Amino acid sequence: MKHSHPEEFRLHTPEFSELHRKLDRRHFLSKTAAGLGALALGGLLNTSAAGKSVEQQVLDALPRLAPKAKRVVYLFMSGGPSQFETFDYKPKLTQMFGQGLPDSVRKGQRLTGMSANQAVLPVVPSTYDFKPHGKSSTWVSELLPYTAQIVDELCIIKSMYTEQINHDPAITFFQTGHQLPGRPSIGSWASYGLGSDNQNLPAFIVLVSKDASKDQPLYARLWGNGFLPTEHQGVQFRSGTDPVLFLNNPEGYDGADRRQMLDYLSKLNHLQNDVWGDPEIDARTAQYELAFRMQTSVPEVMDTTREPDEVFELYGPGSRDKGTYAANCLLARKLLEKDVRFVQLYHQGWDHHGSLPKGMQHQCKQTDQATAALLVDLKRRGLLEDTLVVWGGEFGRTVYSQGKLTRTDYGRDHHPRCFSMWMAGAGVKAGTTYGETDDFSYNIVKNPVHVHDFQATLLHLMGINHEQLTYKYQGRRFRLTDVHGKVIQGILS
Amino acid sequence: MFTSDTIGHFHPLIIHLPIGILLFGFLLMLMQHVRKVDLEAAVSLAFLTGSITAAAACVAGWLLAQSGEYEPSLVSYHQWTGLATTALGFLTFFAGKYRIWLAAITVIVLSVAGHFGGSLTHGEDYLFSSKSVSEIDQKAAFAEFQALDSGAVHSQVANTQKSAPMVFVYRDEVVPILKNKCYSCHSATKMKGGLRLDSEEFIKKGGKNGRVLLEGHPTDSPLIKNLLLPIEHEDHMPPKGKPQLTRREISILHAWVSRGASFVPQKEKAERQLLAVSGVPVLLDSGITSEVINSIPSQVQLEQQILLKDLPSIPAERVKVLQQKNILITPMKESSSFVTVNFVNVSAYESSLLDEMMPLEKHVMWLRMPDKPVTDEDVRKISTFSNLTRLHLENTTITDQALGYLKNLPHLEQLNLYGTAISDVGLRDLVLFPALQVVYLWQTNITEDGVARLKKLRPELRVEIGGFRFIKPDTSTIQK
Repeated sequence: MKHSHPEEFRLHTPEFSELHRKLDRRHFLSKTAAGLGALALGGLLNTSAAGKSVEQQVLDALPRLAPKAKRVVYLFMSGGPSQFETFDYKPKLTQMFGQGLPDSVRKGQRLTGMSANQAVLPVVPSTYDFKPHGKSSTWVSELLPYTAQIVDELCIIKSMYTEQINHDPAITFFQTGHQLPGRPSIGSWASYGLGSDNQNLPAFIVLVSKDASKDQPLYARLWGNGFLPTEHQGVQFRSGTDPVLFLNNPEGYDGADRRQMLDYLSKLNHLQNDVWGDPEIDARTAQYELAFRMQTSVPEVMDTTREPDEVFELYGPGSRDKGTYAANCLLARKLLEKDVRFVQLYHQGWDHHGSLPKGMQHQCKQTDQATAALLVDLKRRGLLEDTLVVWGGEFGRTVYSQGKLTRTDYGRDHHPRCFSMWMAGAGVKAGTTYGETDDFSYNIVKNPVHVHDFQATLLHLMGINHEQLTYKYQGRRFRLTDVHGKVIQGILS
Repeated sequence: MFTSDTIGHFHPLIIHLPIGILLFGFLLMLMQHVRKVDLEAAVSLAFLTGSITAAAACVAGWLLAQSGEYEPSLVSYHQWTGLATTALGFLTFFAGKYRIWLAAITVIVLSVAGHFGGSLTHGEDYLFSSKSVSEIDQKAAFAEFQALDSGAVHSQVANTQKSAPMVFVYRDEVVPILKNKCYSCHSATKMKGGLRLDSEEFIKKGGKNGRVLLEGHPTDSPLIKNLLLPIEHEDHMPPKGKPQLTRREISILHAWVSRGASFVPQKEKAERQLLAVSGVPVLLDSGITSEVINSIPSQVQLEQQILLKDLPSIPAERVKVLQQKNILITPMKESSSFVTVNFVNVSAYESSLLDEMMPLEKHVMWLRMPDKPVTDEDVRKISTFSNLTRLHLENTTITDQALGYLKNLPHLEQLNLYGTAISDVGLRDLVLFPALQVVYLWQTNITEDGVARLKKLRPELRVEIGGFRFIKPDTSTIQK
């Protein structure tokens, strides 16, 4: 059999036309607005004989109606905050203190290895009181006195559920739509789809509280770009003198020198790019340029010294100490003001297998005021009109006590079958509660909301059809919601 | 019940009987010769039934041709070869000698007639078209690739500016769509409704019911309008059951018509822009046209109503100029001509930037220019942005005078004025804003009295003055 000449081979294969298409598209994109995402670009510049499949993909995913949320801030409470001590008020449990969890509720469901061997599963009510708050008369725990004051802004979902029962798969599932690592984070999808409005800051910025107890680890892959081009990766801003590592010029190195170096490097990269057509060369070039612009924009946005005292008082005591949750909330507001697309905060320490009352009190105290303050601050600046705020963890906790139950102390194990989270701001119904759980907050009795539904809704609010924002990788099209997800119409305003 | 029309429709059904039977008859005859078996009776039966059904097909075919929707010369070839097949069939049946030669001629004539029939229904180039097209494509792609390759590597600079490649939207985008979805009924071979869409001349001429293309007016052009009608509608095209156009295809045709339906190549940028910013009617999937939506007034949000308006797209050159000045322009939604304009990347604001935006005065719906030294005089320029619904002027240097300029904006729903020098004086104008729903007044010179008066006069207006203060919680009651 005759072997094909390599040139000939290339000419007649799909790879050839794909390469041709890529070259053409890149050539075109390089001449136009940098910073706009696939969707935004698709909207402004569109359609030529070449590049159809990519453009088609983009076009299909374009917002059909104007998006409600231009920005998102996601307050991730890592560890699985208990719904019992926060939003899911279960007064009937008080009379059942210490009694075994009825089989009719558990229905033989498997438990984690941490509590499966317990002789009894004693029901434990919240040790903290609840009161109705706001015009909506929403029941909120006394651990959240500040959140209680802004509860009329919230849409609390009490019927969240997930399939993942352990931390890492559950967080990975929430962030990427899949329990195994390797897929792009929600923020990366948003960056890929919509791009960055602010060309001097990344579209996806991550802030991790330094003051949280690090009971369960976080990994950078939770805000990773997966298989999306690298420029869509979440960029973590740190609290120290170098908010973004290695961003500043080395000592004795002049900014003009750097500019010259980058210009020359960019030329070299372009040459290389024309030969190889590797999208990662584009990504790298874009990253260098963004990093250069960030040398001035980051110190500017990180500088909170010009904020008036009133602002620090609003966010609470921790807000003057950079890197705390409160300071991060304040910083998040500043980033959103600059039209950063997706800001994600992480606060660890919610994994209370034991000593839950003390732990919850500590966690709430650290986060409650700043969370509420962020909403107040966004609202008075008019940003809440087109900013979506999300608060929640990766799963809920069990109605029964893990470990020894006393009058004042107990623990709760992981519970994926129901938990609470809330959304506020752009496009969601303020002052409402969605979904219901049974008297044990064990099973959902009304309007269940799966993690994929939440993700679909989040994208919907940003003007993206979750079924159509896809990325082709290893021969198939991937999307955030895999093959699932329904937009939760009931919470949309 | 059976009109001549419906009998005509049976032609494509009946026609396959004589084709099959006559061919099989010929096959039997060959077998008889080769294998030396006696199949005389079977052969006679085949040619008799084949000829009778052929005659029936001729009758039905003649009736079908009366509709006039087919190209006359092709019809005439098909008709005579068809009749010849029938006659030859009967001849073969009755013949004693030379039977096999007659049968062979019958089959040949039958094939020719069949080919003409196929051309009538599927188009003349149906048989051999797909292969040749892909060959051409690949050659063209290769040529383009080579040009691109050499150009890109050897002269980066020359490549970026000077060569503005021409794009031929009609040939490259419109024709393929028409060819796939429309030609089968509207071209040389079939002219339903007297309409042909296979050349510029015919598209411009229209059909029995008049013109189908009104350049620049997609929703008035039946060529586009009929695509958007509900699928059950009598005039919806393509008819129910035929392959429908995709949303993308509709938007391409829509964009092409709305930009004047050019039949010549255009500069690349301009054309790309064309397809991008021209308005595709919303709700395409549900088949609801903008006329229908306009008849439901109050239910639909104001912003969505504006988005339904037809508006010429922003000239590509203008977009480029503004982008070079770091002004961010994004479409409000899919292929909309309406845009959000954001000054977040503008580092050195000057009012001349607004002069540059004047050609967009109808296009801007959301305008964000916080923290910039915007003056009252600048706001006067903004006051001509007639479709503006959200305006962000927070932390700018405007005064009460600015509100006087803005009060006539008919659609302004949200106005952000926090951190400005607006005072109670400005409230007199603010009361008059016709569509205003929310106004942000935190950190202005407005007094509590002023706010109270404003709320009294405009009770439905949401006024955000940022007065919220947390009540310090009494945590002593929380049990440890």
